[in-house]
Amino acid sequence: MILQVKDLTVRFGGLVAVNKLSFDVKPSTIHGLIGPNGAGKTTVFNSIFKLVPYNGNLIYKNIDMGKYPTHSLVNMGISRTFQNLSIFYSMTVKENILVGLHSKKSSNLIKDTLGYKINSEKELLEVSELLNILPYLSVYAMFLPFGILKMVELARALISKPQLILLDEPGAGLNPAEKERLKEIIKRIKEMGISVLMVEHDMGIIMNISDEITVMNFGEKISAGTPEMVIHDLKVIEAYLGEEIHA
Amino acid sequence: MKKSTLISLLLLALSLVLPIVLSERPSLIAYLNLIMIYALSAQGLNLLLGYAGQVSLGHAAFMAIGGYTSAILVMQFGFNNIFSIISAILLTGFCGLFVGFPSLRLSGFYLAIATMALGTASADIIKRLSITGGDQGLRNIPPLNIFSYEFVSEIQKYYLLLIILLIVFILVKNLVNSRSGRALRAIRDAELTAETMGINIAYYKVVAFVISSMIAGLSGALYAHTISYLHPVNFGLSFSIELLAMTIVGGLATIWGPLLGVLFWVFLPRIIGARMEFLATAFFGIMVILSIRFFPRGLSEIIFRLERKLKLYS
Repeated sequence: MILQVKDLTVRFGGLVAVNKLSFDVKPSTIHGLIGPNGAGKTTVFNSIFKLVPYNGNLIYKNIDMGKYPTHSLVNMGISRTFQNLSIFYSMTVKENILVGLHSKKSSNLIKDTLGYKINSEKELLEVSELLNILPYLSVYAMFLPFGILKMVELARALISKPQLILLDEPGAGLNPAEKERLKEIIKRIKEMGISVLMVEHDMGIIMNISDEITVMNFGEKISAGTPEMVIHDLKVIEAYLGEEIHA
Repeated sequence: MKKSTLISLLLLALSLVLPIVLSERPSLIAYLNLIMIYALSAQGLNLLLGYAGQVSLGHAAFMAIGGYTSAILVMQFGFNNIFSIISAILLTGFCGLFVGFPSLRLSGFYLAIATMALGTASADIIKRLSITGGDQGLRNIPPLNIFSYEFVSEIQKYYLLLIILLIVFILVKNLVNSRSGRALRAIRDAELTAETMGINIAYYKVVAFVISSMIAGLSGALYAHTISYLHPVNFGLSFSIELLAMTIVGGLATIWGPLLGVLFWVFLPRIIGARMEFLATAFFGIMVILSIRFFPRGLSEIIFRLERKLKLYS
């Protein structure tokens, strides 16, 4: 397993946001995490990145992640995107993407101050071509539309060549054509050997590309399995889907 | 050759020729020297506030620490200037480290208050110490003497300060455009996102404070040996606020902003005239408000617009 979530519990004061949640993410698979708003999906992501205190165990490649600080996770091979677009608007697209490479390229203050340049062109071109954002590299992020910025955020998470990527609603706000392209990109990411843990509300995306799905409601796991199994689960239909859909 | 490079070379040539043209008016050259010293300090603050997003209302204190350290080491202990200035830079860097740690827990208004405490406390401490000359200040500080060459005249000081200013500005430019600079700007724009991207927030916040205070320390040391006189009143809270205002008016997170802001601040009263000098402060205050509200890049906006036009016509 690339990631094992064991009895994860997150409390915000008296509110139990995630309650004894357990699931595994297999290597080179797409694992969907779905559920109604407030189910605790993003809280799971924030726990993995130690942005919220939690109980339980998060094990990445047989290493307990509890003792590692947030900033060390990229170097371990984990990266993420955000539910609400989180872009460095004062930077160009190129600079935004290169931030994702920060912990992978070593340098020091003296070298930086003396003008020593790190060569990251190869990685930059690879990821920009994959996400079709090559023409925007020198443009300031503040001038770009939402759809392109979503790709910039994804590029920033991908440039570090992670082994596990956490995508938080990557399809939110995209038009149908962009969503189709996103599906292809996520499949391509999987083919590159990267495991994907993805939160998504668009059933057209998640049911189509996921290998496994975990369904949450009120912080608890209510169902798990292949997309085919999940969409026929009455508990999922009742709590989230409302009606059966076809994978 | 690019037009922007040509303009930079022309400005450099102008800077080299200026003191020769003004050789009959040493007081004006002295003004330019003061501008360069303040611009160094403002650049340090610009690195901290503009690029790293950390506010400081105690920057004048770092200048004071640098100035007094270098002056005392030369006058009381017979250090040569190279060692006295390096010691001043290192000591202010250490003080920056000390002040930088609260920045890990504080931000915005609360950080401003914490740094303000440093500013007021250090001025008070300097007043009470005998080694600093107490309330009388330190007088007759010897001019810079580097490898037995003494920088006595205003023109000599001008060229030395110009070289130091250019070196520091180039080093800061390199830094902000590097991997570390991107990390600082990322922290300023979105701290949590920066951390999840692998940036060690605590390290970079403290580093920003240390480098910024080291530049202020260098500026203070140069001030001491250029002006030849130090008094705690010159490095109080009001000067920290003035430095902040100069940096904002010049343009935060721009390389030439600090210099433009200081130029404007020093020459504005002279432009307005002695009889209406009281208006200068009010006018400068209005400029600060306008910069914050409408021109985040302050006076540097002029340079950016000029650059854009040059690109359009080239």
